[in-house]
Amino acid sequence: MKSKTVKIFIGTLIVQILFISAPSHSYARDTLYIITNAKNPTHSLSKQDIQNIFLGKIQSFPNGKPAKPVNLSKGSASREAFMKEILKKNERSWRSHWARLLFTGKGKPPKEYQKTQDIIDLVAQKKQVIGYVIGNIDKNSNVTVLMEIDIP
Amino acid sequence: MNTPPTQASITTRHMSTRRTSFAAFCLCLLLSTTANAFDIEEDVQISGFLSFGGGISSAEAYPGGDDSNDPEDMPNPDEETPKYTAGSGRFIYNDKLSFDQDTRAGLQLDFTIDEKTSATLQFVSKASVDNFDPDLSWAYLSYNMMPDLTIRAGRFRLPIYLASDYLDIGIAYPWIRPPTEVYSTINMSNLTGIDILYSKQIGDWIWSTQPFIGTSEFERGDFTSTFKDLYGINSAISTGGLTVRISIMEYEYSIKPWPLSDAHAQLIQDLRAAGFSELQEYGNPNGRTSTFLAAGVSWHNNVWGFQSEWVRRDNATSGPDVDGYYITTSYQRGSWQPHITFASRKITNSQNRFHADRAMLAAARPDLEAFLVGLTNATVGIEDNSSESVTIGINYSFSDAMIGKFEFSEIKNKRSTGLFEFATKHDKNYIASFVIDVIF
Repeated sequence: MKSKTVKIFIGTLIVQILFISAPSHSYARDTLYIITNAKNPTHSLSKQDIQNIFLGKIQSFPNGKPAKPVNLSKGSASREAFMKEILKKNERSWRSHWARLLFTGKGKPPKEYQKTQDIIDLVAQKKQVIGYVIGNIDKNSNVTVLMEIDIP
Repeated sequence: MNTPPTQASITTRHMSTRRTSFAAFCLCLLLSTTANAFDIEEDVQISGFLSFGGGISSAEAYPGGDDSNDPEDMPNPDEETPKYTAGSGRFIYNDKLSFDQDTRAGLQLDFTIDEKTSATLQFVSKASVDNFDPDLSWAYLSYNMMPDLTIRAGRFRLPIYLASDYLDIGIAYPWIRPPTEVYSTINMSNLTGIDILYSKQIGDWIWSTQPFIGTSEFERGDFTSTFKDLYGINSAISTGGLTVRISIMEYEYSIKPWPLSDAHAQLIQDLRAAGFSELQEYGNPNGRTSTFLAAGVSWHNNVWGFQSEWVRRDNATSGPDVDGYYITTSYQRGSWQPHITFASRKITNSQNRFHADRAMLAAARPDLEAFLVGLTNATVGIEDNSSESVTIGINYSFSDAMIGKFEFSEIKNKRSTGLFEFATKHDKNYIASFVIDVIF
């Protein structure tokens, strides 16, 4: 009887320690949305598809329609999360990847914008644009979510 | 000695006149297709690169010419300093620290003409070519017919190697310079013509292909070299960090004038008079077709990188056939990236490259034979040599746009003077070099 109480006590203690010592941001989970225009016939994409489009390996959606990726500027937390979770690249390998394509004439890096709202506006305006945002998006705003993932 | 050009010892020197007129042509074309001036913010993208490097070789001079069994053992009576060279004069290191060879700068302008059309100009300035006079190395119009189908016309990079397109962009590859054993097989780097870029997604794979056709002509010293009827195609499949690529190219090579000199003309006459007319055309590359093949694979994740290429050049009759390969492995930890490369090139037709009649000529007219061999060797230069190297290097990324690199290579001359222009005292020599690569 006694030993069971001790076990429960210790167990609770461990859970509490884990709870307290865990980084606080893991409780404020954010969602990363990959978005395109609502009129775009593409409604979902795989991680690989998104990588291919943002890395300029392919300039179209799987259905063959042109794809125009747009990016947030360097230094933005959303960009950092997107690069880490989806592209699996850091800024250095992103830069050298695009140097390869740019100085080859095989592609130009996605245009960059300062504000998340700029990305949403562009996506809402143009059918072929694909972008990403973190946080809440207004589901009525002429935008389709192609993929959403929780980021730690 | 002013070495005459050979098929592969050709650089992009002395193209300035052609380039200038070509530049003027392209500018006119640009100006005429666009009524309004470009909005710098929206329609022109300016990008640039700069590399500052230096290096030194341990190779010591040696008189050479003491192996009578080796017709390629080129004498170096004046004990000239052995220079390590990729092809002919593209970069050279000798026993003094020099900063010219890996130092270069370039500026690329991309003009958006309309939704589907753009124009690209790239100016490159290198110490090793024309003493830093900028050259218009690229100038082409591209038309995006479909999302993944682009046709380009103008002057652009010959797309035969894995790293062809970004040869000058140090930040795009781990080495200070791509392995010489492979990348000197065809030195010509630009062609004027048309190519098509096409990509298609097939499941998880992307297939991309690039057929090209064109010509390349340039002057070097007293000679004009022409690659004509040049055509080829490359094809690559990739998924994630893996790329497998093959390419093939054919071209007709010629040198003008031929004979190369009065002495050469005299030799031809003498050979004819001595009844060796078969030999009079010996070494004449004109109007013959050469084939180039390449296969490469590269794989990388964020930590490990692996890259390897194999190339073969089957020359016109009597020219040296070359096989080359390299294997590179790199490891990334934080800002540091150590890497190691094994590379080798060998001549595959050294046994039968000389005409069968040469032995008879040696018996009948040893003077003519010596002259013929001398002339041929001078024409072929280091092209007839075999070499092997191991390079270890360490790179440090100061930022995502700036990398510092240091490399140490052990270079083994496998045949004759290897990739050194003159005989070296030892068959094993070393080169240390560094570079700072920046893009902006």
